[in-house]
Amino acid sequence: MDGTFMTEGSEAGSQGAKLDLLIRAGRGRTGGSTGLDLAVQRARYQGRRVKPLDGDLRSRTLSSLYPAKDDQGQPIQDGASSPATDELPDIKAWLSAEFDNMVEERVSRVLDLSGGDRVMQEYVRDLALMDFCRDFGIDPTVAVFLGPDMEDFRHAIQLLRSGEFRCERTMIVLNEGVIRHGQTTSGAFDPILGHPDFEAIVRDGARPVFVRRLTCMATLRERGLGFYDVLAGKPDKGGMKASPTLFHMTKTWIETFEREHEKARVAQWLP
Amino acid sequence: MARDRKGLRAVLNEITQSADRSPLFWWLVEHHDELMTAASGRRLQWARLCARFTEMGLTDATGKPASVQTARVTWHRVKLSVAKARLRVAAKPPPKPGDVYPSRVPKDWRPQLALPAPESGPGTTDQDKPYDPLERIAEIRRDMHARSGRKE
Repeated sequence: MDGTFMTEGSEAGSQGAKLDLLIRAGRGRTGGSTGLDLAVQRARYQGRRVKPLDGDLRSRTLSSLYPAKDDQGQPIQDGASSPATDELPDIKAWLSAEFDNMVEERVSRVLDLSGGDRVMQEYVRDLALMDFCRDFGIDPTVAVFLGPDMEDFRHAIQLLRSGEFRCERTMIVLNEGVIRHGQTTSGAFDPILGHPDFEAIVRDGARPVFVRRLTCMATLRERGLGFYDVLAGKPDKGGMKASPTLFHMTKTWIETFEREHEKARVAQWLP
Repeated sequence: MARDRKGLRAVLNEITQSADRSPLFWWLVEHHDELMTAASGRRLQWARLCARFTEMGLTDATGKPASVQTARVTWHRVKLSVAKARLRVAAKPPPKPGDVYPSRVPKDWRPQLALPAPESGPGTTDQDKPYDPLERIAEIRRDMHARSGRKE
């Protein structure tokens, strides 16, 4: 059969040895979307393809950072994909289509469902997601992002104790970037680190990782510079390269991030 | 090639647990590789394809011409079933000695060599130490205290 008349578009997928699915779990406002953005930038900087799945239709962080089309309306390879609406059936249909494509293209995905744990729980149960991943050679990782809010922590514990979200590769990201002004890091996280439930889930296999605040994050955002753009010496949207102080801060932060993820034994879990 | 397809079909039968798949399903299985190459990550034009399927007499499970939605869903199922079948075939252990007649052994066959285990380097890294969950919590706590200007 002649295949040429049946298709449109142009870009083919590629084969890759590492096929990861990084799922951001937990409540919103804990820095999860930024964490996934960092994971995408890191993978691309290291030469691996990753496609962002943005199920957070309120903030649309990943969709705005990784648009699916360029100014001329042409599709951009590995641009973010989103469900048609935030209705449950639409989200489930979108996830199914994306996971089908993932198997076909062999390109890793990061999935942001900010505040969508219920949706994910249902979907994980419907599809038996972890079995699906095992059958199709996908390595899933659940990343639970936490700030200092104890309500977020209680929600995370509940989630991790639910059977549906049980994943061999679970990391708990303690995000210094979202602590309140004037609060010390220890003051913010000691109640969590000292909580018996935290120790229990860590003993049970979840890997805690501490991510430091990058003080120049807002400046990078304003200038439209990615973390790894700074390392690569790329100019911002105004044609200016990062200053030496900005470069140094970002480089140090990325090095610390890598070291911490190695210590936590989760660096290999990132796409 | 024909034998490969027969084997794949047998595994697919086992996976799908259903002998009453539609003619369209089996046709898509038979032509899976050609279609994947033709599609090559592009969007398939289902309306035009369905017209061709109807011309070719490829119907859905009820014997009716396949709608765009049915064809699309069937293709998704075919892709998943074929991928799953191939994983199963790939996961099958190699034949044991004596399972294959000597006359069927390829001329270029050689026994597999057992490679020596890689030697570990002189220095140890964090990755070499056993992971201790409680020490990990303590390590994070120390780091946070240092960032907060607290002494241990």
